[in-house]
Formats: sequence, C-alpha cells, structure tokens
Amino acid sequence: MEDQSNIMTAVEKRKPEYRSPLWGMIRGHLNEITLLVGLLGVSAFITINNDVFLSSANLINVLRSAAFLGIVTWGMTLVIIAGEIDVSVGPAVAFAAVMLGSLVNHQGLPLEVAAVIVVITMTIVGYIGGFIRAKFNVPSFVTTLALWSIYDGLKQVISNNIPIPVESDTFQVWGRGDLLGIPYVVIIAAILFLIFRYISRQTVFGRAVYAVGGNAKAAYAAGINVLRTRAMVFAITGGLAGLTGLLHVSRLGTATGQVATGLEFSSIAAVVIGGSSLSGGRGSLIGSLIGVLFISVIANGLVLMGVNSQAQNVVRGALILIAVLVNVVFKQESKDI
Amino acid sequence: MFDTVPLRLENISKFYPGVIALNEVDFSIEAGEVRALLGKNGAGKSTLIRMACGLEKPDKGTIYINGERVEFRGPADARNYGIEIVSQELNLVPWMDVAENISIGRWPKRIGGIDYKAMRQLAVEALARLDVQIDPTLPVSRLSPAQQQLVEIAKALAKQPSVLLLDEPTSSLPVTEVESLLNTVKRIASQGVAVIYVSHRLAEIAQVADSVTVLRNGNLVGTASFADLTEQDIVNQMVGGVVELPELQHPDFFGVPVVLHVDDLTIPDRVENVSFELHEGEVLGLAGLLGTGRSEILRTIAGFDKPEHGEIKLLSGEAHRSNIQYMIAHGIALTPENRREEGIIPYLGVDENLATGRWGQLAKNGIISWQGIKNVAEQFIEQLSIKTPKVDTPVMNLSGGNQQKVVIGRWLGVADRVLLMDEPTRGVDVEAKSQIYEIIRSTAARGVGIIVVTSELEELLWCCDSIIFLHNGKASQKYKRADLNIETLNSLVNGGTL
Repeated sequence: MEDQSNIMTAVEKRKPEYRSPLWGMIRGHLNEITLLVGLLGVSAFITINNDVFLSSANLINVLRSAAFLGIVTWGMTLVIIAGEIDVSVGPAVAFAAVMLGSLVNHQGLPLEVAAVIVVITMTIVGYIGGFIRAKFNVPSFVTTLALWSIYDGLKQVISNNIPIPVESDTFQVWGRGDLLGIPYVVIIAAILFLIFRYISRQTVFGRAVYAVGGNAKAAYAAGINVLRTRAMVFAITGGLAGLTGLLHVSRLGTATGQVATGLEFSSIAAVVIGGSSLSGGRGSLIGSLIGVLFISVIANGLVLMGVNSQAQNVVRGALILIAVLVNVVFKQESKDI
Repeated sequence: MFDTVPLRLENISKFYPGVIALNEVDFSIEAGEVRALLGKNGAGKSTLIRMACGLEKPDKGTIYINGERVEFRGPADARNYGIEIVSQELNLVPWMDVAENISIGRWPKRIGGIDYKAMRQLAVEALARLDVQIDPTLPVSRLSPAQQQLVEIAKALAKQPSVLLLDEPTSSLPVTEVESLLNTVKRIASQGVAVIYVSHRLAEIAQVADSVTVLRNGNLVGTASFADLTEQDIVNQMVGGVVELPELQHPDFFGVPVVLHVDDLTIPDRVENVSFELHEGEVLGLAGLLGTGRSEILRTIAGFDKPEHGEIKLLSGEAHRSNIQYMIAHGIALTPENRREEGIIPYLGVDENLATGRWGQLAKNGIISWQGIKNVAEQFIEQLSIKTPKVDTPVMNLSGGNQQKVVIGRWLGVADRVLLMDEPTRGVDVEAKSQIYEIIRSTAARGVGIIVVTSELEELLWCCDSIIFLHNGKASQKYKRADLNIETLNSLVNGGTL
C-alpha cells in the first residue's frame, strides 16, 4: 500500500545519520572552535602588521596581562552561569590593593598576615553582597553596583589617592618573578583555571551553579540550596578580586588605587565572548579562557600597532561586539530542532 | 471556480534534517467548523499549525485561502489573510490592562496619542463576543489563568479572523473554567469562524469538535466527522495500535504500615482541618477543583510551605520539617505541577536532570562521579522508556511527555517513602500518559506511598487505590476506587455525596 510505504520512508529517514566521533566533538564545541579561529585570525593579522608581536618577550607580556584579567574572570564565569552579574570587580581589586598597603604601612601588620586578611575580607564582603541578593531578591546588578561605588569611594578615603609603598623582595617575586621564563602570575592563573574548570564540571557545587542559573525554581524544588549557591559565587569573585589586588601590589611595589580600571567590563566581556549566556545556565571555563586571551591579544596588538589610546577603546569595543555577535549567531545555528 | 474554504493545505510537506515532520498532508476546514487536530507529541501537529499561521514555510505543497494560492513570508502575512493563533504560552503584558492587551500594537490613535476610549470600547466588544465578564481596566496580572486565556482569545478575535488556531487552550485551566472556554469556542464557531483545536484531552474534544484530523509520524491518518468515531478509535489511530488501560488490583490496606499521617492540617484560604493517612504502596488521589488547596497540601507535605496549623507525621515518629532538603533526605519528594517552571533544568542533560536530588548517592565529599550519573541515567531511561538521542541531551530538546518522565525519574529511588505528584500527566500525549500510569503503579508496588493530584478525573480511576475529595475547604472521607465511577466522581468533586 502506498500509505504504508510512505510511513516506512518516514521512519527510515528518522534514523540518525552516521557521524564520526570527530565531527561530534567539533559540533559540540563549535563555539570554542570559532573563537579559537577568530583568535588565530586576529593574531595573524597583528603578526603581518607588526613583527614584535610574536617575540617571546611580547607573548609573555600578553600572557601576564591575560593572567591579571583571567583570575577574576574564572569566578565571573561561575557568577554568569548562575544567572548573576558582578560589576564590582574593578574597584574591588583596587580597594584590595589599597587595603593591603594601608594594613602594612599604616597599621604595621606583617605582609603575610595583611595579605590573608585582605583575601578573607574580600571573600566575606562578596558573600554578604551575594547573600543580600539571594535573601532579599535584589538584582545582583544593583547590589554589585552599590559595592562598586563603596569600593571606589573607600579606596580613595583610605589612600587619599597617594600610592602607598609596599617593599618586600620575597613578596615582589609573585608579581614580577618567573619560573623557567613563565611569570608566576601566569602560573597562578593557570592553576586557578584548572581548579575552576574542575569545580564547574566535577563538583556538586559547580553543577548546582548550572542548575540554579538554568532554572532556579526547579533547582530549589530539587533540593538544591539556591541561597547558598548564589552567595558563594559572589564570595568567590570577591576572594579572587582580593588575590588580584595583592598581585598588582606585588608587581608594582606600591599599593595604588589606579589599578584594574575597567576590569569589570573586560571580565564580563571575556565571559560573554566565551559563549556563556547572560541569562544563566550555560557557559564554560574553556570559553572564558579563550575570551580572556582574545581581549588580551587585541589590547596588546592595538598598542603594538600604535593606535592611540582613545581610539583603542573604540576598536576594542567594536571587536568585542563582533565577537559576541558571531558567537550568538553560531549558537543559534547549532541549536537542535 | 469560486472557493470559500477559509484555509486549505494541499499536499504539504516539511523536512527537518533527518526527519520528515510532515509528509504530503492535505488539510482543509470550512467556515464555522471546529476541527480537532490530534496526534502524539512529534506527530506533526505543531508543524502543521506553524505553517498554517506563517511561522514556517512548507518545503512542498500549497496553501490556499478562499481558493487563492498564497505564500506566507511570516506571521504578519497569515494575519492579513485572517488567520490568528492563540498559542499555549500566554503572550500578555502582565502590567498592562486588559483593554491595552487586547489591542496591543494596534492601539487606536487620535490626535495627541492613544484613544483610550476607543480602546476600551474595542475591548468591551471583543469580550462581549465571547460572553465573558472581565473588567477591561484591570491589569492582566490580576486575572486568573483562565481569564488570561480568554483575554488572549479576545485579542485574537479583535482582529476579525476567519480561522482561529487554538493550541492546547485548556492545558492550564481548572475543570470549571474548561467548560466556559469550550462554550466560548462553540460560540466563536457559530459566528462563522473556522476553529482548529489542538488538545490532548479527548473528553473535551468530544464536547467541542465537529470533526477530527489525526496525524501520526508526520503522516495524515485521516479526517472524519466526530459522530463516526469512539474515543477508543481515536486513541488507536493516534498510537497506531490498541492501548489498554491498566487493570487495577484493589488491595485492602488494613494492617499495612502507614508512611504518612496528616493531622488537622490547615492552610489559610484553602483547607481546614484535613486529616488522612497514607499506607505503604497506596496510591491516593486528591481530587478537587482548582483553588481547593490540592497543590498546597502536597507542597506543605514536601516542605515547600509551612502549615498554619496541624501536624504531619512520618513513619516511625520522625519529625516533619518545612525544609525541602530535609524531606528529600527522609524519602519524601514532590514532582511539581508546572514542569517548565519548577521541574526541568532546561540546558542540563537528561542525565543531570535525573541525578539532581540524588547527589548524596552519586557524589563523595562534593565531588561527583560522571560514570555513576551515566549509569543511573541509563537505568532510568531504559526503565521509564524515556526517548532521548543521548543520555546527556539537554532536557529542553525532549518532548513534554519525556520531560515529565525525567522529572518523575528524578525521585525514583530517592523518594522511597512518599512520592507526591502534582498533575503528573499535564500536557503529555496519550502514550506517555499510559506509561506514566504504569510508572505510578510499579512504584507503588515497591512500597512507596503516592499521592496524585490531577484535574482529569478519569485519571483517578485509572491509577488510584483511594480518593479524597476537597470541597469548600473541607476534605471528604477516603473513598475506595472500586466504589466509584466517573459519574460519582463528578458529583463528589462538586461537593455532592455518594
């Protein structure tokens, strides 16, 4: 019967076509692969126009600035996957730097003790901000915007906008020294990256972050502690901002509030370029890593090619916009029907 | 030849990569006709609808309107030809008032802005056409879901369509309001509008439809006048075979251990002094109209809400707490009523959605075992016949029935004392429904006490051992299923007696 044969063809066509495992891998990581290709393209473009870019000294430079952006961004990735946003990280880093200088120089605390106090304080403040967001249902954009202003004001109150010298040879190793040519900051950022990648994929907390960001009500109904998960991601960015502040002081030898300006912008941009959804539930650390490298390479290339600093921001903004657009388009393409 | 058929699809096909969604289907509808469109999830209903209202283009075939061959470039084109759709999801702006929503985007204007008077008038007329009493100046957020659904229909009707597509219009409505919606549909048809009605609920289709079109696996099974078919015929056509309803044993629970005592439970504005016991392996149905506190009782037991008054006691005298995690740890869990809102975690895989809630078993010191998750997931995919391409396919890519099975599967082996199920078969096709009844029965057979809340009364007969009715804030005695039939159910749910 004709009807019957039609049904048969329909059923046969439903069978999934054979695809090689390699294709499956490529398809599953289309975002990351596109980004990587984009990153290589931008790098090639810079190399053609400037022969300094590929020198090892310059590449180390790129990695160093990527590390200073990356450390906070690993935490930001969790924040964004949880469906939240933290706009306070820039001033948080600057405040942490100034706080360290003040504790050492004004209060006379030993550097190690001061450093520990800074990281713990920043973690706790982050947790409180996250707790307020979760408990009272204030949008995190608002709570962290308030924190942005508080940190920005406090750092000026404490330092009077005067750099505070922090001198210690052992401490400066962290920001300036290297191991076999690789700066310690890069090693720290790399280790933290591996830890965060592990957290996001292998721990109950990490999966809870995805669940809460994907559907908080369902996560709650399934017995996940939504409040604690939300508070924790902000505690993490707080702690990482504290650590980044320490590393800035170590690198400069002084505690100044003039560091990490606009870090919140670059960090959020890196995460979004990396394919995480601002509405939560989706994203990966690998994507953020590529996003961080992308932003660092662009910034470096613009300097190398002698673009003036005002125009740099324009170009950087435009490139980020393009990267995000490409990303969004690809995500729609790879959406299953 | 002059043709007055308001919508005709001829030889229409749609292909997706690897799938024929629709295979040379013919479909036409007359003015004033109510046509039910039936089929399991994935049968091609939504594809057909999407093409009829311009959301998608057919790959083959032609669409005719009043005999004129047309091609829709988008929904706006279809709308210009008089085709309106009311989709399953509500598309209303909650903080705008009813009148503004009805003429949204086409607000009547006068010099200096929007003509509010004309807008109200438009709304009053549209609502009068439906014969419903809704104040057009109320913000939509203050309306019940049923009223919102009616506003959606009024919005569609305000554009004077010749064809109205209703996609599962009753899926979120309580029994009482379904009736008035069905009357509304008949009324619209009597005014000459052709209505295409998609629903999984055969009982309401029997009330409202003149004819049915059944699709299966993208193929047209047939179109027939409703009078020529029985419900069983239709079900068989949809699944392509004969579905048998489960034969129930009628065990006596005398002497079987009690897993849950509810004593004197009071929930403000809902129920007062409700008491009952649930035995090991018993499936208890909680019946009542919407707003009688059915869901609230389940949520209170599961630890979502605090009871105002009364006591809930677990097996062996352990305390009840209003804490979801604590209750889960004590073997009591809830599958919520709204699976999209509270059930699934859309982007996560089927495996993780099944594993959420049992991290305790699958993780050590906070570190999870993916192999363990995979094993558990494969076991449940097999056991519940969940149709998914891969174990880690994002659950949002599954059909409604399979999503529901995932939500239920999450608690199997976790809720090993009491499983609370709020509308377990809502928006699920016939085949998945009977599978879910089977899951309920087999879970109970393993000694789990189950409470089922459902708006579909027949369902209580198909899967419960005993039934309690909620009416006017009071709970009835516990009835044995064997003593009830659909007529007595209908009377009891409305506060009557046996």
